[in-house]
Amino acid sequence: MCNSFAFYHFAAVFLSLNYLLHGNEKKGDIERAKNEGKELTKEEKQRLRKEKKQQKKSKEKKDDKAIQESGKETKGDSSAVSAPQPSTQSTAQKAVPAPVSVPAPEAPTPAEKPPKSKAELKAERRARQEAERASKQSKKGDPGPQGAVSKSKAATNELQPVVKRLPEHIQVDNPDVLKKLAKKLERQQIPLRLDYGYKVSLFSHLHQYSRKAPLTQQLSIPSTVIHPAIVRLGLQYSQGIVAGSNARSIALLHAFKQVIRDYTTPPNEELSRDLVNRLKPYISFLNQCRPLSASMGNAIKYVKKEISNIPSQCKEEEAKRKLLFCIEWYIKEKIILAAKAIAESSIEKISDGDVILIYGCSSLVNHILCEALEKNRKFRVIVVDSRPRLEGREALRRLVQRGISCTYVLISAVSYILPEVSKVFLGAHALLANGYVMSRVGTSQIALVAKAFNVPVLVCCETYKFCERVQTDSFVSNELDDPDDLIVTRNGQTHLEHWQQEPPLGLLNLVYDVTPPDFVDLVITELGMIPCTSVPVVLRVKNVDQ
Amino acid sequence: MRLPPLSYRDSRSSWTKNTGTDTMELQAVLMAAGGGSRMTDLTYNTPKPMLPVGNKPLMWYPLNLLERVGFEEVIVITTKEVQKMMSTDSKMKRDIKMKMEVVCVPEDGDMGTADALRHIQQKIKTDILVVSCDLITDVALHEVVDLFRAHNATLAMLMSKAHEFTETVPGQKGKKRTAEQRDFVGVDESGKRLLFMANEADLEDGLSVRKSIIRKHPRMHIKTGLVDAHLYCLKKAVVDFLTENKSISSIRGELVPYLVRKQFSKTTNSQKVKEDLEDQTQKKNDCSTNHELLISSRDEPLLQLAQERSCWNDHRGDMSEAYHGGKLRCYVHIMEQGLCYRVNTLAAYIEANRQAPKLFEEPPVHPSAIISERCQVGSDSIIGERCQIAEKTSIKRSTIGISSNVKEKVKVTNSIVMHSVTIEEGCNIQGSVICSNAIIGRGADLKYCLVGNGQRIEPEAPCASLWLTQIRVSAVCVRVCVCVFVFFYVCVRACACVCVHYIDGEVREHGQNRTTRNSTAAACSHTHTHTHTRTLLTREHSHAPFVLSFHTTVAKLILSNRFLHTKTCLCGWNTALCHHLFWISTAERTNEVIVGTDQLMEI
Repeated sequence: MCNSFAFYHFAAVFLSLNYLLHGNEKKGDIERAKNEGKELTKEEKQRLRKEKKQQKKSKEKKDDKAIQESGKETKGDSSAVSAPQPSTQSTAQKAVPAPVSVPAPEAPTPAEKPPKSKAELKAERRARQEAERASKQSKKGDPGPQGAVSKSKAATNELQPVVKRLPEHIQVDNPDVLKKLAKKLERQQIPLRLDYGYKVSLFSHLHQYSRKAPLTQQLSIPSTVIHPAIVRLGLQYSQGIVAGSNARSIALLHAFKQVIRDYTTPPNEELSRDLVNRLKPYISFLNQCRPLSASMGNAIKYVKKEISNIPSQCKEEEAKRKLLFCIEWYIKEKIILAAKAIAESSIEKISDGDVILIYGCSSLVNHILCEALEKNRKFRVIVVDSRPRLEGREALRRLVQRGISCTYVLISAVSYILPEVSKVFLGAHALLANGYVMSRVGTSQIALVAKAFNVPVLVCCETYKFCERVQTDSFVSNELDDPDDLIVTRNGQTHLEHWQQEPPLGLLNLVYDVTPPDFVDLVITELGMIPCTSVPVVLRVKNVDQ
Repeated sequence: MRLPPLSYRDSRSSWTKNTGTDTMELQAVLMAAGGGSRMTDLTYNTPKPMLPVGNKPLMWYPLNLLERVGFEEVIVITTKEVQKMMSTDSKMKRDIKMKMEVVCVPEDGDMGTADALRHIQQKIKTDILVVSCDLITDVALHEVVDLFRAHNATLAMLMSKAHEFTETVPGQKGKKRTAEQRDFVGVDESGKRLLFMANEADLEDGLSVRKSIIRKHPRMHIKTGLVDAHLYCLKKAVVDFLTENKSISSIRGELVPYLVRKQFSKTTNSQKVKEDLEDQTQKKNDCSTNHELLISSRDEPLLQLAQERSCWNDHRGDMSEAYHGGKLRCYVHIMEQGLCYRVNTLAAYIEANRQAPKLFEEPPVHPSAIISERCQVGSDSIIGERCQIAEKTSIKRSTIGISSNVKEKVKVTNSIVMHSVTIEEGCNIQGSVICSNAIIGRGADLKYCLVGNGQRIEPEAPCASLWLTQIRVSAVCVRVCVCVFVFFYVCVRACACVCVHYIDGEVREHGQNRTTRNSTAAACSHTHTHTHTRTLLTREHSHAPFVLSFHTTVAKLILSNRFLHTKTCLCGWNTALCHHLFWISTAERTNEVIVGTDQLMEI
């Protein structure tokens, strides 16, 4: 089970960005097709769906992609062979298609070159990637079924090269990776936070912590290894005092500023190198308090780059001043001004009489609505909320405080309320390179229902939250919050209090989900309004800029 | 407070090493200058911080707590006397590896804890953790500190459920003390935010809660039965504030209530500053001694921004933002379970001795103790260094101090024997506290007694429920033995008659004593033996003199001095002594006036 699942990760996460960047307008389709192709070979459970897509694929066959398609067709065929009896499909059969898939992509790749003579460089490159992936797949494909039966050492060895590319935080079920992580933390003198409780089976690869066991209980008081500002921040993250992508990034940068202020370069060291090394344990500490958000990842990347850009002859004071300035600039430019710009352009989309539906508590959406009110737009807001965090209440408070008329419903009532809604405004945790929107769990559901009701869905997101990751589902890379949050006390009775003692019971407190670009009509960024599919373009431009 | 000048012998990356002390996270301050005014019988010769608990000085426990969680240095505020004792105590040095910086405060000066903080203000570079020397606890300290960290609190403190002391205490009345002042502690729904604090003593008629608190926290839980552990995390700004505001002299008594109150006062709520100017300036005037200067951290606007963007709120039900926009926040961690004692009364001292072994892993019997094979030592007993325990001895639920000598056929149960005590053969000691250097004569039978420092109990003395402390009337060989068994027999054996005249002298001496020592409760307690019996007790409470006449030859004077109320109980056998009794009570009355208690003797 575990292995087949790891397989799945691979497919979903590691579509290379390059490919996406060079894709044409069909890019989205192809890529989805590819994903689905992968799923075909791996996710045998969804047989019927696969078949349908297979047909679709064969229809959109193009001579340019002939080889690819043929490769997939063979895959499809192979799975189709076993398709006729879906009722007999059992776990035993799981192992069957995986090996089949191995020769399938390998066979066409050598044949790819001769007919490709007329194809351009682009296609060739793609072919190469395809081949690489295929070979990796074969490597991975082999241990998959084997591992499922018995975890041989050879299998884990073979896994290694692939494993390296997967981030640690989504491989919690892999003891090797955990060991490595523990070692790394030991080196950095950061305590290891232990996972808490039973995890729902599909999510055993993610961390699940208990709020009641903060990392600080293993730290010394006063903390000597970690800067106090970072300890404080970590606590605030893990207790949810600082929550939300923007708040977390700002607080992080604020803490970094303090770290930089208190920093002095040791003799015989270079600031640009030493400071980066200094930040590393801090970051792994924060990562354990709560997995880093995409926005924080980008902010960290930026800070690190700025630090390493500092010339070695630069005086320490000067360098620190520069860094502090850079951080200030980042906050101002990327967060505050971006929010302003987004508010300005999204106000255009709000017309008098609109009924706007928002979900959860997005600081950006709140900001936009408040700005719109100030511009004397007449509109009404419906705040949709969901358990367990009930962040919508906070959004409601902020909007009502400003004098915006609001309605508050829970997500279960969203289909009831949607007919009266004219626009849906959503915030985002991150925008992924394939155009998927990662946001608070439930967002995807709202978008889906909105689509069904033909209500435009607008996602507001600063570009610093754009992420080069590619993800098509909410399983692979996600975050599990404390399952105890789901425990309810009502009328003095606490349900689920001893859930740990019931072995068949698992609590899942998922934090994010991804919304496919199909459901999103528009993304409003500080660069303007773009479709979801333009995320790679923005990312590329950003890369060129930096 | 200087760290060794930037040392890099250690390759470990520790930010403190680079930055010096200025940005250390927390500095620990141990308050060890208290006199122990509620257990003067014990602290007459040994200062409170050095009282042995489980054969370790009392102050070892908070020091160990600090060291265990990772403090590397601590500022110890104490008296010259304690400092001297500390420097001679090699064991303490061995046990505590932390760097201790001892600061002495004048002994006789009326220095409160806040005064002491003001005294060391120069040394305080950052936020502080203040611990009292009489705290014995196994609390997970991170709980308190995390509240302080996560909420950027001004004050975070520790409280614990009050313990019922079930053991019989020497000289203690059998009844629960009614004089104890209860604390009312108001917390919010999460049970962490400290909203309200009042002591029964300060309440004149009923408990009144300010509207500003109720408005912000409509659901406040008021808890009683909590003990303040006297462990506080305070922002550095509070220390700065103390230096400005000299009127506050005690942390617990004045500073903490002030901070708790201040959470809801208008000046700290930045939004409501828009009041008329007059009011403003007026406020400014007394604000120079006020708080606004305090609560600001670096990069305030940025932090504010992060808080604004965060979708978290500490409360719901009204329209204001997290923390109601207040900057001053007090938090409390309430221990629901676990050990937490403040050793400030005799009862707590006895209880702490019983529980202390749970806190350290050392073997209960010190390897250097010489214990005969043919004796019984219970696993719940602690035997100190260089002790000698002879044959046929049984020791149960007791602590035997360093270099004590227990002879044959002795039975020690439920007792605390301090250092260098000699217990001769055949003694039976039960539920007693025997202070250092005492000698218990052969065959003595002590039940629920407190034997003072250096006292000598003559052989064959049966004592029950007695305080034998500092009997100065050595000339007459006082072996005061008063028996508890109230009802109709008072067992007086081997007692030379205590001459009223002597006691008269004693009383006077004690009066002088008081003025020199300048401590209230200490005044009477170390002068006399006293006892309580159930009947005596009730009579005492009615503030009536108590005269027992059973016999005609022996007169007995017992002065009891609990709770600062000097009460005289006289039991005599001779009505002829009435005259003297009168006389004594007058003396006693004068004493009382000096002592300052409000209960006057009538006779």
